[in-house]
Amino acid sequence: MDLATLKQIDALTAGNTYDDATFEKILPNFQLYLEAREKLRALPLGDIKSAMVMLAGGVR
Amino acid sequence: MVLAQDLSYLTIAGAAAGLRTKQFSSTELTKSQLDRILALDAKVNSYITVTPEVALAQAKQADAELAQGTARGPLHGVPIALKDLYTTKGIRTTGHSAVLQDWVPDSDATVTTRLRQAGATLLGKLAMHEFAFGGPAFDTPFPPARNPWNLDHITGGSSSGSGAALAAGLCLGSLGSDTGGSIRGPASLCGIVGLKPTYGRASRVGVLPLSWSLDHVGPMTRTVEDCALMLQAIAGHDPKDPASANVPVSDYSASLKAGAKGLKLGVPRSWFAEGEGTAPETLAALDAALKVLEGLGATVVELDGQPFIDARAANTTILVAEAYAYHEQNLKTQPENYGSSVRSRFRAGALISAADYIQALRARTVICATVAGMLETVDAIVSPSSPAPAPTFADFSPDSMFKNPSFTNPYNLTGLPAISIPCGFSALGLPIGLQIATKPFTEALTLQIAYAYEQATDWHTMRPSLAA
Repeated sequence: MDLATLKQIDALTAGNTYDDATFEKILPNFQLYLEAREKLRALPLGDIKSAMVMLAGGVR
Repeated sequence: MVLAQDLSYLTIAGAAAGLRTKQFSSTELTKSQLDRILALDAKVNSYITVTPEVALAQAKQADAELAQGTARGPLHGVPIALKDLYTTKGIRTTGHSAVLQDWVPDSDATVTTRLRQAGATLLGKLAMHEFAFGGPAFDTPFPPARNPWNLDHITGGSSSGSGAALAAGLCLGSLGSDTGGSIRGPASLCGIVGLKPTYGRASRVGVLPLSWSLDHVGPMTRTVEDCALMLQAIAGHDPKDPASANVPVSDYSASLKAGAKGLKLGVPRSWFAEGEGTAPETLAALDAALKVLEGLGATVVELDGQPFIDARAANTTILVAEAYAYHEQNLKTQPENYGSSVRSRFRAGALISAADYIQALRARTVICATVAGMLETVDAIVSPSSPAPAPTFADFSPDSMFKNPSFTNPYNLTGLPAISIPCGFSALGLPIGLQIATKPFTEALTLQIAYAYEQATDWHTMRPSLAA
């Protein structure tokens, strides 16, 4: 991921404009999240369903 | 006559006993704390707002009630302080951010009210990492808290002021909040006790959110017994918090002294080597702590570390997506009012896709089930609280958080109760923390194991040398 790509993605999603210096600080954070994405996609989740909020102890 | 200095490191339990037996008054105790804050906090930066008028008025009221024989419990007349994300009626609540720099709420958080009802006196509002995220920053309206064990070192966060104030003897108890480790991290790095209760155990109404499905509130104290007393005051169902659990509240002090004999402790040791691993002196302190617990009659078995390693990606994705959702409007309209570090981290959350978020929730389902299964085979899961002692401000890097294991975030993801207690010091004299986690709503057991270890060691009696 480079700065230009990040700015393109940002324009399509959040849609507001920051200066390049701000985007340069956002970039390494976004790269960390991309790493997290890859790790999540590598998990064997099978047909596991989404749990929006865990029910603590299943007792609620 | 008790000298003011002698009151600085009183425990809550000790203060309650002293007030009950009239060794000192709440006004004397509160004033001694305010004096100490005045003398020392310019070094530590643990307070954003000190509230002497409020504290002394509450102390005066407590003294009057105690003199009339009206005792509200162990917090009655005891000076405490709150992380500055708990709303306090008539007292500014900033989140350590320029975004809310002058915000004065017109109501209390539920737990603020509970502490008022318990008779605690409020010394003030404590520093934190901006909006409970990021790291120590120098571009926010208030300076970052410094570690009383060495002022060149960070406190950990995000409940940085809570950790620093307790270690420095600037309050007797505090409330922190914990979304990925924000109670247990500073507890570990500052050498104090911090408990993240079960998800839903204590109300978050009136607490600035970071991530709704991961946020917990909990006590930070100098001893395990004090932690039990503060949890008792704040625990309980709150219908205004949709995540609040309507589960009976245990007596957290009743079983404190039941010991560790016969308990089985699981240690997911492969987790400790994740990424760049855990500092050797932290691992040595953990091994020594496990020997102490074995000496108390516990047995130690190995657990699989992989589910805990997997938890980080899910926790990070959920946290950042939910945090961005909360801050989206302000990030668009007043980005300049955020510190650069937290703005960048929040803002990157805009780019997390719905599919990423859902994958994280699916992973959460699996990890919750796996760890719940582990807790059918052991009574508690034990690990270090932090992968290394506190770095200096100069050496701290937010990126480093992703290079070493995160021992705290799996318990936000799973909602399990987890406590950090002091278990040693590094060669540089910086505290090391031990984490103990148990099944949902078994905080009494978490505290029981922690208390057994604490009473068998003297780490919790150590104090930093902060000259007045």
